[in-house]
Amino acid sequence: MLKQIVKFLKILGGDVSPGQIAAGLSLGLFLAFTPLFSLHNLLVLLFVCLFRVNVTAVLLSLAVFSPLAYLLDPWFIRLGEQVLNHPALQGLFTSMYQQEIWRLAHFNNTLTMGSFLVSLALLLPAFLLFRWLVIRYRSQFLAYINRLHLVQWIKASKTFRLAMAANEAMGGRQ
Amino acid sequence: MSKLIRWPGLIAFVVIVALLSGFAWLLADDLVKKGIEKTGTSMVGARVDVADVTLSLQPVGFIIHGMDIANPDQPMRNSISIERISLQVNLLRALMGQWIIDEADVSGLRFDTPRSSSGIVAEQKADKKPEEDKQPSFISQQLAGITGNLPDSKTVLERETLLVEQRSETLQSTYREKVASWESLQQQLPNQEKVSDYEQRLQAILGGKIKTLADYREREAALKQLKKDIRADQDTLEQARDHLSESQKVLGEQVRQLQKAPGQDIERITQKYGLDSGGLANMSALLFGDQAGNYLSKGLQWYDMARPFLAGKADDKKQPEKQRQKGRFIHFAEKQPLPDILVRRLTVSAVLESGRLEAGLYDITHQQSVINRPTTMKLLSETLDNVDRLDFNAVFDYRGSDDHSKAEWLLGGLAVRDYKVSGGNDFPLTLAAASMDMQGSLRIAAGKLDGRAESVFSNADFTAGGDSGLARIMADAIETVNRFTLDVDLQGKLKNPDIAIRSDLDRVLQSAVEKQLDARVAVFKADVEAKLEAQVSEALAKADLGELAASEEDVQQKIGRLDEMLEQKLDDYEEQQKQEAEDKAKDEVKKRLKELF
Repeated sequence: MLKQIVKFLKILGGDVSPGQIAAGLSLGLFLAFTPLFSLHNLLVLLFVCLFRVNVTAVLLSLAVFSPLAYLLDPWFIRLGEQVLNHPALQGLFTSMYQQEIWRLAHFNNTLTMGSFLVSLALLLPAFLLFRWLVIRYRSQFLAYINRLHLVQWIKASKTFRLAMAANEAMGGRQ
Repeated sequence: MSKLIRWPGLIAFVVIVALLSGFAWLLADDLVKKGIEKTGTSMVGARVDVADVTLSLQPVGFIIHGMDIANPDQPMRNSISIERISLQVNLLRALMGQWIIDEADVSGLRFDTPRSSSGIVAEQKADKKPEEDKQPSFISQQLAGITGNLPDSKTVLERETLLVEQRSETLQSTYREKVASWESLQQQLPNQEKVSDYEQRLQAILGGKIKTLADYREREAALKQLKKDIRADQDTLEQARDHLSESQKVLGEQVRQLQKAPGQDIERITQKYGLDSGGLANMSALLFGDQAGNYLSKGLQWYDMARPFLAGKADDKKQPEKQRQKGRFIHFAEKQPLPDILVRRLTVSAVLESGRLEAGLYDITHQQSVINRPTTMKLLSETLDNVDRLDFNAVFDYRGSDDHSKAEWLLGGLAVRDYKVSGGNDFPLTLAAASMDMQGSLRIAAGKLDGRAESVFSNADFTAGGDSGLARIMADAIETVNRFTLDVDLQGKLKNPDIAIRSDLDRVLQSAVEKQLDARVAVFKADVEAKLEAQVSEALAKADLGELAASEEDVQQKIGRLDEMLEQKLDDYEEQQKQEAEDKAKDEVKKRLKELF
């Protein structure tokens, strides 16, 4: 975890585009909020691998937002119940239910449906927010942060140097 | 576009997915094994061990090898041991969140097998109590109650509130009261001297000739006074006579009640201490009740474990705290709907001492309404050595408002060997051999039982022991039985069933025991009766009604004597005196008339 944080701090201060970092964070949030082993998360993984999304940001976001998902599960389930039982949507869901691909996606599971809808709704706002935060961080806080003793100590530590070396060996920029 | 896409990522994706799938495949065996052990242990309350789990790809499924379920009450024994369980899973449905098992097979199922290590779960060790010392069997206790513990007559008479005692006390109290009032009354009664005095006074009045009218008037006045005195005493005597008469009547009734009391006391004691032979009518229930109760309890225990699942009421909320909630699957209309869990066919092959028993269970699910079929069960017994025929069919129907389970069975030619009926030392009874035919049915609805099983045992061969006199008599009687029936009725609640057992063994045992018991009871009754009669005699001796009767006779004699004085002698004399006076007056008149003429 410490390694991921250090790595992320370096990325924040590096030349990785704010959009890549924001996409990683928002997709990590998506993975954290919805049940991990789901068909849609396979698509998210494919998206993360295929597009230039920052993987470190994805992993950090997944680790940070997963505990929050435990707390939000009851609300996700309640939302899923309401949506799946909504009379106006019964026709749509009944036709989806006949197709195996949707059944494999567990669309009829209350937690999956509720958390998916919330994550989907948050995806774009989260992306824009994270991107704005990264830009603001770089323009206003980066110089100050780098002067902090703690950051300098971390950068000087053996773990950090090893992590950086490993990162370089694996291809450097992401 | 090329800035956005990194094509090597596609390879990474494939590699990641392949690695995840590989790990899942490698770890699945162990995960399933641990899952079964953990869930099973928490359900049973004793260790559930699985030797090995293997995954099969064609068809997709699991094979579980060597599953032992420990007995929570006997940690060194397994309730059930299973050699092999194979499950064929519909993979596509499993990925959709539905566990549809088309075929499941349980083979090599054995009951009550030994374990090499204790099956107690660690946290339960502290709560586990050592097995209690075996109590004598119920029949032994009952026999002891009937034969050995006939109450001692002296103890019973001391312990019981007896009518004899109550009525004796009442009689004595009334007697004392009546005697006291009689004694008080006696003071006012004319004694013998007074009666003699009356006689002397009467003689004086009657004696000699009335000389003059003045003499007559004087005597007349004396006679009137005497009559007045006698009548006053006569009234007192009559009151005394009435008092004595009433006292004798009351005391006589109390004596009669007292004389009836021993019989009534004996009747009540006989009933209270169960000394009538009617108490033996339920001997078959005592003999077979415990065993029938055990079989029923085991059967209902299994049913009670399966019922929450079949009724769709299993506790879904029990989820480890660290896991995410799972939500629920909502089902929409489809042509062939399937529940979340369904075992279409489960075959079970149990290894018993007498051979192999095969069972088939169909449509096992907690959502029967989805497939609109109940769970059914059928037992097959072609391979059992000791049974000619076994048909067992059960239906567990939890589809709607009329939720119920029912079973019907027919058992033909079951060879019974060395079946221990009663294990007590004082009346060990074994059914060494018999051929049993049984048919029965059981229905459970809304937690209530309604069942009946009728059995006929033929070619029965009982061996019975017992040293006490009555046990020996019963043993001799039951050993002559060759054929008997045994009917069991089940009613009441699932948690607290009422078992009623009837058998024509009752008649045999009752007849044998009655003779012995009647003889002992007769001795007891005679003893009690003698003691009670002695108490009655003692009480009667203290209440001397003869004395009162003698007093009454005495009083009556006095009344008679006074009556005689008043009503006969004195009245006759008066008339005579009047006549004499009249005659004298006539003579005087005639004389005076003659003197005139």
